[in-house]
Amino acid sequence: MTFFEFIVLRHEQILRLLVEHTRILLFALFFAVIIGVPIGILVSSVRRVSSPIMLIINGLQAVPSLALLGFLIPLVGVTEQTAIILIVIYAVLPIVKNTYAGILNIGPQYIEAARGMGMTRLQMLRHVQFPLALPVIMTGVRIASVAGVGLVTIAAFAGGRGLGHLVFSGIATLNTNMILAGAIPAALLALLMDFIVSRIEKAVTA
Amino acid sequence: MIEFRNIHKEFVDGHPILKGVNVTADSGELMVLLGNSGSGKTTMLKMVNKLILPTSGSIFIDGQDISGIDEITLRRRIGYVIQEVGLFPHMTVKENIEIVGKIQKKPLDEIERNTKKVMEMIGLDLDEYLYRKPRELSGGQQQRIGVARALATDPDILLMDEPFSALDPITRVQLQDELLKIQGALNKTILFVTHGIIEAIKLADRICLINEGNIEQVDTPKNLLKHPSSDYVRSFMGKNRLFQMPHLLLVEDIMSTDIQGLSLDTSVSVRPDAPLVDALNILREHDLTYLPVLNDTAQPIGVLHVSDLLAVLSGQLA
Repeated sequence: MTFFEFIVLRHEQILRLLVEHTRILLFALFFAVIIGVPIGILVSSVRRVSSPIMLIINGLQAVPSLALLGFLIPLVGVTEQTAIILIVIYAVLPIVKNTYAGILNIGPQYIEAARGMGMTRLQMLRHVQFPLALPVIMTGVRIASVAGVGLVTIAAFAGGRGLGHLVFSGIATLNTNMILAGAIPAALLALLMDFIVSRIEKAVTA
Repeated sequence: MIEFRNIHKEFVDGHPILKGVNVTADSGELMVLLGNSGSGKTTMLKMVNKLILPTSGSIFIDGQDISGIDEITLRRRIGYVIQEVGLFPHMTVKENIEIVGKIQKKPLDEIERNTKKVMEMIGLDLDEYLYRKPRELSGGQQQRIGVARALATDPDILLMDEPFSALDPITRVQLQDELLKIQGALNKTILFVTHGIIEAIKLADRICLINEGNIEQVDTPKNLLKHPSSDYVRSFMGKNRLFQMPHLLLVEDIMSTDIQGLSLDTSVSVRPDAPLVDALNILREHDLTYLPVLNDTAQPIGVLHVSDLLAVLSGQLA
């Protein structure tokens, strides 16, 4: 059977898994953003906590994802939650880092002007720091979403439904077509996410 | 009125930046804080809106010690213009000006009225500029908006930290002229930091000359040039500076008062408060070598010798 024939034969399953894959990714990204952005803001505004938190974050990122998955399975079980937790943990990292960097690298003249006109900390965050850091934050989201596609694939190992299912089944049965039927749509999804988020990034750049 | 009372400031490492500064800028006065970099002039300015706190000493605004005023409240009463302009790049000109009123929760119609008013003041057309982003404007236009933003809520006090120093010379002169025009109409209390002597002389009602954390002299530009209180002031202002600015010199500044025993022909004369250039024209017109100086009651009080006048105008006399 050629690869093309395999695709035609399994197109319903591939499509369903692609939708699942995307759904898990977006769900996890959503959590990563609502967790990562506030942590990034906290880290950038409270100097005392910045070193320890960044240390933890860099440390976490250094742990291989498969190993982390190994730790998570006994704790959470082989369920979709495990997959989502794994992706959130990894996706949070670039978002925190970029939020931190984005806020720290705002031109000092904008901060000076904002303070000089009598903005409160919160007003400064809302009107100046957050909007000016947004492009850099979106870069973090883009990195997270591309890496996330790959992580959803791996998370299939722990019960996440997605294109990883095809990849792992393919490996188990030595079916190259099946591996490719999972890998190629995943790669395309990563490229698509990269494209979409980079458009958002441009749109929010002042 | 802004009063600095015995202000000291030391850096964390103990290095003193201000060493007991006492000076008062009167209401409606444009006072220039003049000095070299590192003199402490910007530190003084930033203490007024509490961007920097003094190590000891107090600052009073209209008699009230600012250490008792919440910094947010204080800053909202004071317009602030910085050299780097600091217009927010993600906002339009309109948003940049109106953010000042918005963070203070002023009524929207009042905010919009003020925007129109300040745009007219700085001479930028509403329709053309209001919806532009800062990066679409020239440096001079950006700083005009910077001034407009500082004036947006009509504060009594304006702090200007080298606002025109980064501009090209032609634009700088334009903005200086506009500032004088605006000040003529609004009579704000302005502290203006610069290291430019010419700029200080042009703008200041009084100059506060600062050297290494001490005030050397506070006086009108002319007095600073004519009666420097120390060698430092004299050398800082430039020995011949006054004579490079003949428009600042009057007949009385260089006339000789030694008129005992002179019989003066007073048919052609000049008043003591006439600019030197006018005296020169009279001398030329009548081809005279000296000119009697008469006071209000037509009494001779001095004589202006053409040789002195020419010496001054050619920069020889100091």
